[in-house]
Amino acid sequence: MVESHAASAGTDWSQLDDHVLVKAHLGGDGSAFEVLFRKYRDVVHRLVYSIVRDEALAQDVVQEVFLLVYRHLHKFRQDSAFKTWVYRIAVNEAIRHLNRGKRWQPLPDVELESSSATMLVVSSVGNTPERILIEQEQRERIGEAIAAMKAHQRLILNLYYMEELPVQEIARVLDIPEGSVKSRLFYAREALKKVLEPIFHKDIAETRARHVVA
Amino acid sequence: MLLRDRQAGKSPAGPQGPEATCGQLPLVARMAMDRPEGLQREPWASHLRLCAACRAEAAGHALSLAVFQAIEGRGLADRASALPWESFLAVLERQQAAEVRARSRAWWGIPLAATAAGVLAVAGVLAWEGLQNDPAAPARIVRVLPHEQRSMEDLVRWTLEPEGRRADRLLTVADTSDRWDGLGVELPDWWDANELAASVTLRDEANGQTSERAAPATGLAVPASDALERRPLPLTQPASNRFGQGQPLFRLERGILPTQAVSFSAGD
Repeated sequence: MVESHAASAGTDWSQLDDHVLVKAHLGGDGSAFEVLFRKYRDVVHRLVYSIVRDEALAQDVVQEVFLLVYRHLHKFRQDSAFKTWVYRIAVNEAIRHLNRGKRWQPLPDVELESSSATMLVVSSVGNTPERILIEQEQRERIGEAIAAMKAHQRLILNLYYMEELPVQEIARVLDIPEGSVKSRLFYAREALKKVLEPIFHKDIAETRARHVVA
Repeated sequence: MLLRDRQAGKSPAGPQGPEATCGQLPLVARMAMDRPEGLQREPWASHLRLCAACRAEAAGHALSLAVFQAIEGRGLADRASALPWESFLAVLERQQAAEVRARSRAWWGIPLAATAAGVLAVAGVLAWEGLQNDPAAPARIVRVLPHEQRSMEDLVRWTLEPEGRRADRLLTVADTSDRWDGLGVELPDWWDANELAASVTLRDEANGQTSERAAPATGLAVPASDALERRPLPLTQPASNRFGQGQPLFRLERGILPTQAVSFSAGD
């Protein structure tokens, strides 16, 4: 079947065409859905987590998303991408759970390495324990600020900048016009800048003060 | 570029030449920031070279987006779903089995519900018939209200037995010496107007007929259209107690049947 074929050929899951897999599943191939599950499990998890910000809840939502996908796969129209369809179900389920439980947690302990972007904020004070501490604190503040943004703003930033979906695809996922996607992107960027600017200014001021003292 | 800027004839290069601070990045330029190269296009690139304020604002946007991508991207990139296929499959099979059970319950539930409803209906009919034939069942009471006591208080008083039991039917009659404006009553189909010596006129209002007949001196006149079946009336009170004594005129032991509603009015 599809899985055995993929396994025997050493094929990456992502290399298999979604429409072929869907047709195989609907045609009675029991392993085709497993391939789809493995292919989109992590992507859906990331998307759901970016909305609900709760690991346990994200796991539950991912399971429900795939249960829904399995149950309604016969309704999937082949005129759109399977990925878009799955994203749409995932976003709807995540928002539904978020609204139902009102579970809204800030991003917990973001494990990050130093990045060029954060390095922009912290000027060089040497590779000292103090610098590492500063960067850790800064990342935590930034992570909390991002987590405190409105879910729909963070969602659209994620879809556009992280998942790199084009505006047309985002419009299909969110079931809104393309113009609304663009305006939401604009306001989400404004909101992001608004929440991050105070952190930048504070860090820059603290860094300058340290330079003066040094 | 904002509409008001275009109307004012301002160019994308800014209002006051190089290094001027317009203080407001045009809306179109902000929309062009969907991608980093968006601001490199003309005329926004020229504007940013000249306008320090817009350059700073664009840099702020670019920085915040870069930080967002770095923080959020790294935070999400390491997040993989811990949901194994086997676990999902187990949940799926449990759910499908539950759905099959629910469907089978629904399939059997229809005839079961129909059977239960039939049994209940038969039991209800049997119980009703048993109640009707049960000698120990409480007697149903019909009272005739004399015309002297037709006020509401009297009606209330007369509809109650001394022990407080309410009459099942209330009949009102009036004699020819009085004009009575009529109260709605229900006549049982065993109604025997001849047993009542009141000289009144019966008017059938149930079917809209307003024609009235003068009652004979010995009893009630029943309109021809009124299909009342006359049967012997099981009286338990003497006819002498008929009016004005504060006693029920007659008592029906059982078997009152619903009939059409009529009202009495005083005879002409």
